[in-house]
Amino acid sequence: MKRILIAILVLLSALAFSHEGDCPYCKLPLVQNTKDQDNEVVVKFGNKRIEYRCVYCVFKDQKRYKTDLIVYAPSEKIGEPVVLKRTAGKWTAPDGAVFLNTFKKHADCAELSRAFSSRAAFDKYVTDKKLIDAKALSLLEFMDLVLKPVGTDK
Amino acid sequence: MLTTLAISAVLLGQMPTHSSSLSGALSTLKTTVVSVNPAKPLTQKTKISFGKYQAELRLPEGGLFAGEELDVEFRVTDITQRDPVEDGFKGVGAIEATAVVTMPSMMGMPEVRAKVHREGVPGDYGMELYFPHGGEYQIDLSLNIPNDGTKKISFRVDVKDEKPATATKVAPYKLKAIDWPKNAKAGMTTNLRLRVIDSKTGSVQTAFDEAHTMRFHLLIASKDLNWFVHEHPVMDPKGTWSLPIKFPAGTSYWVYGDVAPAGKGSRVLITSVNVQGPKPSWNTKLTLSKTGTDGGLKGLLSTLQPIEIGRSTTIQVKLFNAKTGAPAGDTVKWLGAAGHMMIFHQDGQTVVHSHPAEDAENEALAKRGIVRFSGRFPKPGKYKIYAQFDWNGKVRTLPFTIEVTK
Repeated sequence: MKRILIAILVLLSALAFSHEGDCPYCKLPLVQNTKDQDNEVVVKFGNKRIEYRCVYCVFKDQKRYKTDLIVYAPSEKIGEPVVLKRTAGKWTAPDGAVFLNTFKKHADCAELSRAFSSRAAFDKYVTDKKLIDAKALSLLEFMDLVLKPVGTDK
Repeated sequence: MLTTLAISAVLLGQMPTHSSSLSGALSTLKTTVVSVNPAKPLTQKTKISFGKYQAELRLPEGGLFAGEELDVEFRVTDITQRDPVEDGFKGVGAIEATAVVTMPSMMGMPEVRAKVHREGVPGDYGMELYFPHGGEYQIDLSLNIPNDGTKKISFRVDVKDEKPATATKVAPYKLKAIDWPKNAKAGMTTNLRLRVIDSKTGSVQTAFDEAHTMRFHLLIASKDLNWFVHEHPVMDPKGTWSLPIKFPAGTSYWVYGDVAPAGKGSRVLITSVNVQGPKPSWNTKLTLSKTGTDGGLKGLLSTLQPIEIGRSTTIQVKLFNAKTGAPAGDTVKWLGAAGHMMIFHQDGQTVVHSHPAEDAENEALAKRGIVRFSGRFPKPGKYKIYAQFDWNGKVRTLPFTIEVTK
């Protein structure tokens, strides 16, 4: 019940001023309109919408939601997020979607835990950012990494 | 009797708490307004079709209220395609948009340039809006749609008067009197220094838009509202507005700054100062009067519709030469307007600054000595009204007092 209340409060604050809030998971400010990131990550269920800093935060926090979910993860293209779905507990992603997850502290999570529409877009991003040893992850690999973290969580 | 008297004021409702001694107490704002066209009923327009697109404004369930900063969303869809995820038509993402908010009925009111941002769902956008007072607003959007150029659309919305104050509410801007001397004395010139403070950042606002040729309309009224001046201080580069002033009596005074922080629209901010000295020689009670005279100019106040709380009303002042009784159709514009009307609720916290519409009809009326203003009365009570006109080479200030009942 407490979590539901928290979720409702988060939603209400999101409606009041959707981009000045904090991520409900890592508690850091949402990111929007930066050079590399069009928007925050949006979780939708029914008419409700919750905003997160990064894809990692969404997956770490997903258990609080009991319904099917739609996740809009900002991609390399403005206005064209990678859309993930959780249907009857099973996650799916568009064909070709690739994930990055290399952050060590949450201050970097928005930049280093994200989705791309293609491997080419991922490669360009890691090259531009000079991310050494960044691995292109499938959704399943990303989920494995996130749900069995190795010292990356808060 | 009062129901046939009209006025329109705008008001904004929050009642700041202030100390029993008003000195230094800084209350936050209330209202503003500027030129008003005699009210025509608004048709709220929140859904617009343009070419193959549709835009829909998502208003909060309870509607829009003055005095609140809020993020209002709208969705732009392509009606030739279904959205692969959302119900309905496909959301159009990646639009670069700008928004300008105005009050069509209030010419001369500085526009608000609202920030627009993309939301995380393609097709969803948000605007950061603040309505300084209730009334009818138009939101003009310029949408730069990828591969399809710029489209211009307009929403129209009705904004209700401010909700009752809440303990947590903070106005976006505050007016602060700087170093006002505790021993300021009536009859002696004292430099009144004011700053407009951004409540979020605490910084001093230095950029303002002009409203009726001025960036700062300073209205000062005794706490009983029966003494009043309308001045225009000057600002130094650091944002301190100054005006040497000689107060007539020892009492507390409301100090109203009618300002438009750049791009944010007009608003009236309030603070107060205390002055020592002999008590006021004037009547400190609000005595009802629909007749006002100053410097040989006489005005009769009436309204064209019965006053309805929270609804726009047209207020008319018929001007006469007090000596001859002839209509005074020879007033001239002052500060870009045929007249200025300041409306104060008895609490001193609800204020409106209104001007006549600048159209051919009103200009023709003015030549017959008839000047019409518009405003709203947000709550019952007595209202002190000052109407100012430039006549025979001087600004004449005509006082009126009316009462508005439920």
